[in-house]
Amino acid sequence: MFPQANEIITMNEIKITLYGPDLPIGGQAMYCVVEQDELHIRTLLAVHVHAIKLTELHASVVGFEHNQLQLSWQHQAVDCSLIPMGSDEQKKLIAALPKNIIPGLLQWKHSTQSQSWVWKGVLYTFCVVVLAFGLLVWQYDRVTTWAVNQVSMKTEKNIGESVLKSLNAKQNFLSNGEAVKVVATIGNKITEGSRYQYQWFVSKDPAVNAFAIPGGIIVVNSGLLKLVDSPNELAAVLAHEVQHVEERHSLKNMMNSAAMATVILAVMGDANAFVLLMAHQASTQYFNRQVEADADLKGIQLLQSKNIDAQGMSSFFKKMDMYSNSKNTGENENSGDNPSQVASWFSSHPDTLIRIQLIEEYVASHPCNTCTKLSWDKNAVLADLARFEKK
Amino acid sequence: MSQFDYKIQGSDLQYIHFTLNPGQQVIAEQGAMMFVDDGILIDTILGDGSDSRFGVMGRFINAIKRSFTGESMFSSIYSNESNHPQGLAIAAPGPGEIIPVNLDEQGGAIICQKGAYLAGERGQKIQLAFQKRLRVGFFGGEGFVMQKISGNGIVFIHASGTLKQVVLGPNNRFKVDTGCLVGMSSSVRYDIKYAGKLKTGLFGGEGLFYATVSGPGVVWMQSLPLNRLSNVLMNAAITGRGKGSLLGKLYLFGIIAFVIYSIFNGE
Repeated sequence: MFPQANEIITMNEIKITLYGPDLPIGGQAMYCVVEQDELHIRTLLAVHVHAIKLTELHASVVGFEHNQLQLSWQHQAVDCSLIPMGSDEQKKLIAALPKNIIPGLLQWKHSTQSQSWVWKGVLYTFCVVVLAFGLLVWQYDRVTTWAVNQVSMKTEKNIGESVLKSLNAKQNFLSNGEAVKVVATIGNKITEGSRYQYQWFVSKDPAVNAFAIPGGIIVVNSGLLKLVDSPNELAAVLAHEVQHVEERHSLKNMMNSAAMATVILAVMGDANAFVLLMAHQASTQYFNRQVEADADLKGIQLLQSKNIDAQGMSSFFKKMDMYSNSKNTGENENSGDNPSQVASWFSSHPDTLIRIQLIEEYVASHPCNTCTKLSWDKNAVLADLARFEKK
Repeated sequence: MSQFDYKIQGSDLQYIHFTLNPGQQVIAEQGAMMFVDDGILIDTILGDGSDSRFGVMGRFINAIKRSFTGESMFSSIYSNESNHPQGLAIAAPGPGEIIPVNLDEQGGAIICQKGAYLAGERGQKIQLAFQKRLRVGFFGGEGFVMQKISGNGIVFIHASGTLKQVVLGPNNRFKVDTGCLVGMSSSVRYDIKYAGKLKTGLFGGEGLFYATVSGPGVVWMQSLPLNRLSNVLMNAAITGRGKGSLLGKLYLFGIIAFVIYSIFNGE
């Protein structure tokens, strides 16, 4: 009988630190036992026992970690308190105490729990942000495509108009005449059924180039018109540029530059105009290749869907390659002070041979039997250009 | 280990003069040594020299964690290898006071502000104590990271200004200006309270929040936190010599007048 009772007592004994007047500053190590409606505080061998009614106790939060339980009571009009030693003893004490009798115990639970909720919230928010960021990086292409598609046609058209204005369209661009008519005829044939309303221009620039402005404005340089031999080659160039418009590549480039600038701002905290310009350069160069290759293949698809023979693409590319090579080797001495009129349409397309190869592979694997060759009056175009350049 | 024989010298720019018995050791933060007698061996240890159950890597990580609490990754250990008592002086790194704290009286651990540790016995651990209440971390004036010094024996902590020790009984509580708290026992709860009135918060000069500390335990406070002192010094350094006296200006004016007079009446 006796050993059993002793066992029960040792089981329920909880190590505590007792604080109060006449006790050391750092408290006194003691034991306590919860007995029905009383709390017994005693020394190791139970020589001195002090009993307190549970209803006289008050629970509160203490400790640097804001998670320790303190039970305090009034002893001869002075506050005394006990704190369990360590978290295991604290758990034992809480398990032994009846929940609803001691004032402050429920609040203690809420306050310690709310603290862990706050940290869990912080942790989960952090995880969500990291995951979202990872997802953004992983699906970057889809995100930008989606974001670009949110831009309305009207906004895009406004951007295009302002770019056109800045290029001095009235002076430098030809908007009627035989050359424009040929370009517009072929172009309209390609872009039949598009959501864009295309405008076609011929520029007085001798550089071999063609470019697309957002909103469906396509400009072909006179230099390029002179170099092309067949209308199918012109159609290939136009199809390529049309794809830049349809896929909103320039808007995507703007988006990429903005994203790059955001990352730089976030990392460096502060960035000047020069750094942002560098970011813009880097992003456009990085994204150019895949954008160009994309425009090539989609251009071929577009041509074939309109029953136009797509051989012109690769033949024109080969011609451009030869042309720029001969210019580079032949006029080596002059190349320093004569920034060539060569192939600026090509200079942004570095890996030409790979592109030609890709195009040829695609055309070979997608033969188009119904496709036809186009015809045009090249002499009339040249005469028109000559008249235009004389002005 | 037997108690240190030490004496704290000076009033505002203090140092501790130890007399080490043969075999006794003192650990101090790096660069705090002022002078040692010839028979004292100086060694450098990683962190606080305590072992980790993860071996060398664990000790290294502990040292890195320790470096976040305003201490260096290494500490110096001074041991008396001779047969006679030897002297050793450890100086405080700035103006302020050094106080000895007996960890045995404080329940084995105290929490201090960053960089408060100066010297102590071997076996004491300096660990990172992370403030778990967001509001206290943000507005409490001590940041999220403090240092927990645990172990046995005496530890010397240092802080700028004059230090004041207050013993709090159970449920005793008082308000401290945020930033003036140097250390406390681990049983003390450190929280913040809104100043109550917007007028006090904005124009009272104490900020929108007070720190409150509640017992049981001991709290140490400083009269002049280092950032306040450096603000004053910085302002004085920028505005020059402060308010010049009227007499000094008259003196300068006299010199200028004399120079002008001598230019026009020279030979």
